[in-house]
Amino acid sequence: MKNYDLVIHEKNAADASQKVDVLGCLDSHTVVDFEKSMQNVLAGMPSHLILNLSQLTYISSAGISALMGLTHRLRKDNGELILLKPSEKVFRVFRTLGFTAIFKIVESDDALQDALASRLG
Amino acid sequence: MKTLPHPFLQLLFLLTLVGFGFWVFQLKKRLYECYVFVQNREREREMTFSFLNQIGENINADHDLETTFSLVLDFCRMATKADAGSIWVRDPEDKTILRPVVVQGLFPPLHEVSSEKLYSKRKYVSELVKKETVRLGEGIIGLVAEKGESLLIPHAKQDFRVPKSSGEIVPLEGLILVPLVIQKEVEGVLVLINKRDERNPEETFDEVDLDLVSALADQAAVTLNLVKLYEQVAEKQRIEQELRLATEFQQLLLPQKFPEYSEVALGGMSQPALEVGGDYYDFLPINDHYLGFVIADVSGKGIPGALVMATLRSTLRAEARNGASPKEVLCHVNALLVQDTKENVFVSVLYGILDVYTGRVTYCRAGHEPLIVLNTEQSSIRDYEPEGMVVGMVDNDLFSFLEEHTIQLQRGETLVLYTDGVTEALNEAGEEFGMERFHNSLRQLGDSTPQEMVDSLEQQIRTFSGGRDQHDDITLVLLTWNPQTSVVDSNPPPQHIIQETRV
Repeated sequence: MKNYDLVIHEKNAADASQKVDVLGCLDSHTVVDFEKSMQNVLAGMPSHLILNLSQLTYISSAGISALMGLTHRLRKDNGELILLKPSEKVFRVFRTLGFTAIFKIVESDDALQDALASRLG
Repeated sequence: MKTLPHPFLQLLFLLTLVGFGFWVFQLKKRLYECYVFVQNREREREMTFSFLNQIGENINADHDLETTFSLVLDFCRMATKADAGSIWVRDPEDKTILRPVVVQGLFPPLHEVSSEKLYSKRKYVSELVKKETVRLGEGIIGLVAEKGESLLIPHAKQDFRVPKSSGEIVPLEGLILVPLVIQKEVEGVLVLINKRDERNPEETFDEVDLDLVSALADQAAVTLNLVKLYEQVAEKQRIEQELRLATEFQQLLLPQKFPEYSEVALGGMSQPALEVGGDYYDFLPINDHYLGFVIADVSGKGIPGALVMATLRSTLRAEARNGASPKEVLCHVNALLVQDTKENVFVSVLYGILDVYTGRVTYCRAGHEPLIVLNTEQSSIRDYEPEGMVVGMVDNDLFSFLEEHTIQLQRGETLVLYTDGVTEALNEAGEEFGMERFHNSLRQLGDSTPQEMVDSLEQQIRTFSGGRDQHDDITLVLLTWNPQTSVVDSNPPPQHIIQETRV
């Protein structure tokens, strides 16, 4: 069994954004659980969803499809999916597939605050 | 002359006679009851056997729940002469709710409903019930589901548990409610209303009917469990069958025979994994001068992935023949797939055209793995990763940022195209084959034909993976440019188009 886990943080009271840490491996085996959990998270109507990918070790095309689905759903409600601090390996996958042009990717917590400020400001 | 016995004896004789008559009457009544009991048990036994036979045939022929439960309800109504009936089962998503699977005859809601529903025409009553749900504990159906105990109500009009509104829609006389229990859990409720016996119009449901329905309900519950298990197995088989079909279909889309060019030698393989399908490669002969080549990886698996692949293949083949540039071809494919595919299905594609006389390669990388040029003489490799995103995800406004790149091959150099299944192949320790190992394998290939190189690389990946299952498709395509000297010299490549970028 591949390692995979999620840490769902409390919704930020100030800006209604929601942060989730994604750990381990996001592939065709784990993506079903991931999508179910994200459905529950989105049911809480967060303004933006921040996925902390610093501990995500692998992402397959199935995982990227799931992120794309989240992006579409959040944008429908004027929200945004923000991918925080992806590892070099995961970032390389995004770049190879050309998803750096679609996903909002931020490299640091400061950059995240700036991104949120500009979205919410 | 005979004298009559003493009057006391006469009385005694008379009483004995009456007593005997009464005893005979009682005996006959008891015998009749025994006969009825035996008849009922016989009827119960016959019904149960007949029911089991029918259900068994039904499960083999058609295993959906609605058909099976219709049959169960038919039997229960036939056995008890019930006028109407329904079977309710728990909602798989929300176990606190029961929904009707089958409703037969004029069956009113047996819980409180809004007043406008009360004025529904009788013929719409059953349709009304089919849309109703009851919560555990709500109305008598919810009560039986909650308690797990059968209810026999011979005279509904006098029973406080039956809402008056139900009787206003359809006059209610008798009711039987029996829980469907699987492994101590109530999974549903079988309900029968109003006994209709033309020979005995006053007759209503009794204990014998309840026993019979309980016996059938037990079998129905077992059947429900069987049907559920059958559906799970059938679903698993259906998915496996779909994946097998998709795999066979995908294999048909791959080139069965490579085109022949005296200046280029070709090699290729694609090994699908069962769970994740969607790799594709092809050689597209445009004319004697130009050879198209493509490798792609569809993100969807099974039939949807195979259909996307088929669309990609037919569009590429049609467009390539028209002599369109790689960027034009891929923008056209993107426009088609953006319309036709689900929003989260995408394809990574590398499509290029080789000028077989000059060794000039023009290509686009739409989100695919880098293009590698292998020089076996120098044991060196170069890889190229121009800008470009996957096909089928965004409109051409954004997709058309795709970079078209041109490189120049040296004599004997080999173009290497691959999918991520190669570099992400895992060994038993969970380590990836990886880019570095792949590059080293390429450098060590030595002088051999492209197909021999492909076979050698495939073998190395297999050896690395050991006994571990292949989790993604593995595809390799190699083209070695080996032109005749005179042709190359007469067609020197224009210098301005050589834009090699060593990564």
